[in-house]
Amino acid sequence: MRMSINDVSVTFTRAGSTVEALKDINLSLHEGEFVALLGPSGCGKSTLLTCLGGLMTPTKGEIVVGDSVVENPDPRRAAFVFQDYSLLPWKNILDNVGVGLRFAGVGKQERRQRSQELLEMMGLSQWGESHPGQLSGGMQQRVAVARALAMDPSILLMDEPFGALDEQTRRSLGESISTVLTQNKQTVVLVTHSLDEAIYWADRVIVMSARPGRVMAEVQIRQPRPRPLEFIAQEDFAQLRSQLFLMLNEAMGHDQQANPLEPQRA
Amino acid sequence: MKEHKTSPLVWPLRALGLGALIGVWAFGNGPGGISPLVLPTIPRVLEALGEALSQFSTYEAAAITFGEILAAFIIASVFGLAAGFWAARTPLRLQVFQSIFVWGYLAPLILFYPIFILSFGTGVGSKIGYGAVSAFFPIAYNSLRAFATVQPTMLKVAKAFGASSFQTDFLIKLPSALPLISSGVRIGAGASMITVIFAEMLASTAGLGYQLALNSQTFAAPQAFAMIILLMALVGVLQGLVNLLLTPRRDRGKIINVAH
Amino acid sequence: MKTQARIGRVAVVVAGLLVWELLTRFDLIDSDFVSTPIAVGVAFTEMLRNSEVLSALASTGGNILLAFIIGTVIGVIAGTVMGLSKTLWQAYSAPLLFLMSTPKSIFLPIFILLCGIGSTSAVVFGAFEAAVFVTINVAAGMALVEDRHMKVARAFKASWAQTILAVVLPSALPGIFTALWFGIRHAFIGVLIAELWASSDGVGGLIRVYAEQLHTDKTLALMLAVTFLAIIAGTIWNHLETRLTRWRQSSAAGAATTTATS
Ligand SMILES: Nc1ncnc2c1ncn2[C@@H]1O[C@H](COP(=O)(O)OP(=O)(O)OP(=O)(O)O)[C@@H](O)[C@H]1O
Ligand SMILES: [Mg+2]
Repeated sequence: MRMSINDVSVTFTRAGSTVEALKDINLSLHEGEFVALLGPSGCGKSTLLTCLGGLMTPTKGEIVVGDSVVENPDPRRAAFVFQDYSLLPWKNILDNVGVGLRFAGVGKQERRQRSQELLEMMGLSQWGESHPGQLSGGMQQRVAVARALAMDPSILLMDEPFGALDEQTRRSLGESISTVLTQNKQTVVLVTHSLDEAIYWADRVIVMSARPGRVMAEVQIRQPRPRPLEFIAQEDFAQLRSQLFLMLNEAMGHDQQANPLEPQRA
Repeated sequence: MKEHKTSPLVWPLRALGLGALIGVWAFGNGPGGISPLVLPTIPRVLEALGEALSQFSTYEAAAITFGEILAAFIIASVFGLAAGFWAARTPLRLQVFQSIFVWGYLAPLILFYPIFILSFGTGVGSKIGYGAVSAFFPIAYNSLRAFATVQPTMLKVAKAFGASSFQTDFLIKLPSALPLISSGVRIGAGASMITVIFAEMLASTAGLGYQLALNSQTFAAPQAFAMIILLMALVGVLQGLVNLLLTPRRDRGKIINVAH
Repeated sequence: MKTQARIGRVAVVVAGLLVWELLTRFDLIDSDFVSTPIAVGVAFTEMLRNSEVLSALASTGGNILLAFIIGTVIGVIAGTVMGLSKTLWQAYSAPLLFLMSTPKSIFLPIFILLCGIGSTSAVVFGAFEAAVFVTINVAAGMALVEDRHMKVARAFKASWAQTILAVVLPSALPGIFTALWFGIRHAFIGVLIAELWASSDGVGGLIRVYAEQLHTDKTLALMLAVTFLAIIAGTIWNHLETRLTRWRQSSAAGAATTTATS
């Protein structure tokens, strides 16, 4: 589904002092587009995602999905993969994956079947009866992704979903997930710290500046999706990579004088 | 529990609560038709409180109660800490005494007072002994847990840097055990208050608890209510002292919630 | 190690009894005041056949159960309300915490004046004791509900009832368990205190009567029987709690909560 972010700013107030997390963000995503968000730690990526999903109302501006302004969360419209996974530790893995379906009133039989399918896709089919405490960090992240996919959402909001995975697992998962995403025409916003991940997956990479977070630059990746693994070995990839690397370096605030693009910072 | 901004409604709500209490009380006296022999009116209670406060004997009674609680608490702390420390020294002792301290903890020691009266009489000694025994178990149990759960890594560090066993005890074990010990001591302080005051109410010849029991048995309701208020004040002072003693300087001012 | 520890515990208890017996036998302390283990044992076996004792046990047991139910219901409702509203918690937690660590026995005279001497005031006082502790512990248990889990409920559009069932209740379960334990324990203590202080029936009253008649053996036999029941109940509860909240990784730490905080 189409999504536009209009003039969004977020300011946190805490014990009298204020933190400007996001400033004047303007973006628009077309249906089925895959956007990766890159930026220094603390620049407001998670905050932006939270607003996109309707978990937080921006201090200024609005987010429009389809024809309506986002005000409340709705997992069928936009489902989350949280940065800290946030699985419910008292439920087993299968029930964790199906939790959104359960809230939506889907029957047990159907719920279990769907959850099991997704677990298989995530390479966790034998873990259904275990509890989150028994899984590694990377496995929990995959469960959180499955939980979001289970809702079959129009928009998928993922906050560093594969940060704890090794390169190999990440790539093989990447292939299966990106097939699903492309088939279902899902719009995806992925927050990541990995340049490779961003370039391999996304149609467009957005680079955000350090606090207050603004959109500093964006790069189109024209290669059609889903992409073969060989893409990573191509010349284009390496070029994009070094281009983004330099941008990110600027965003971090290194090399400040040399760069006229660097926005004023508080 | 996390810190939150204090809501502006906090004080109005507290005032409301107090108002409700006074309102129910006044209603009971007036339209509720409860006899003033059973529920004295608020002015009568305040009058009795004023009277009590103007008498030297009240202060004497308070001093006795205070002294008994303090003595019981100190004795229990010394013995409880020593017992906890001693019992945590070897794994076998730990397993044996952990259960025994838990049993002492679970036992309704409040029932045992008649035995203390028989052995120590109705004087000050029986209150102190009784209070000390009931405060002993929580202090001993928590100290034992505290000394037994010193992080192995910290002990490794001590060993690696050549600390003697005396140094290990005082520089590593004691500081890392302090938080649990202090929660045990807090519970012990509560236990000694509970038992000493109840013992005074059951059988004694002096103290605020005795005055309370006497007034209530002679149906001097306003005086009994006044004693309840004084006892609450005494408990408040004691709790304040314990907090002062046990809250590290840097944490003062924060509200610490312990659910015991 | 385990059997060694078991033998060790038995040895400590037996040694205690032995010292007690010897001290009285050699008249180092007066057996009139502390009786002797053998006399207490004899009194205990007689007690099992004494209808006075059995009916006292039954009536006290009934009072405790009633006090527990009333106190817990009140406490769970009050604690849930306080746990759900930060403002209410801020306003009333301090007075409640003060009340919790104040010896509740000082309020006994009020209960006796209002409800008279007998079962009613024992039940009401026991319910009061229990309610105070249950309220605080339920409210504290609700504070264990993590924001991030509430966020999951919101993001996946759980209804109000679903949020309570799927997130709040399981998170608060350890707190609720502790609360129930305190409910039982303080209903028990409250009823016995009330009986001991001003009642001639029930176990508490009986203990007082025996003590006043200098029947030390009977007094102690009754006390030890009650103590034994309390310890058994506490131990069973601890096992149950550990079992039901097993998903917590730190269940070893959790297992100690009941005993460490009574
Ligand atoms: N609830 C809050 N209250 C106050 N400040 C907040 C809150 N949430 C986030 N912030 C602040 O807003 C800024 C942006 O936070 P955010 O979590 O969005 O960063 P991020 O880009 O996701 O960082 P990371 O890459 O480390 O996950 C940070 O400086 C943070 O301190
Ligand atoms: Mg983040």
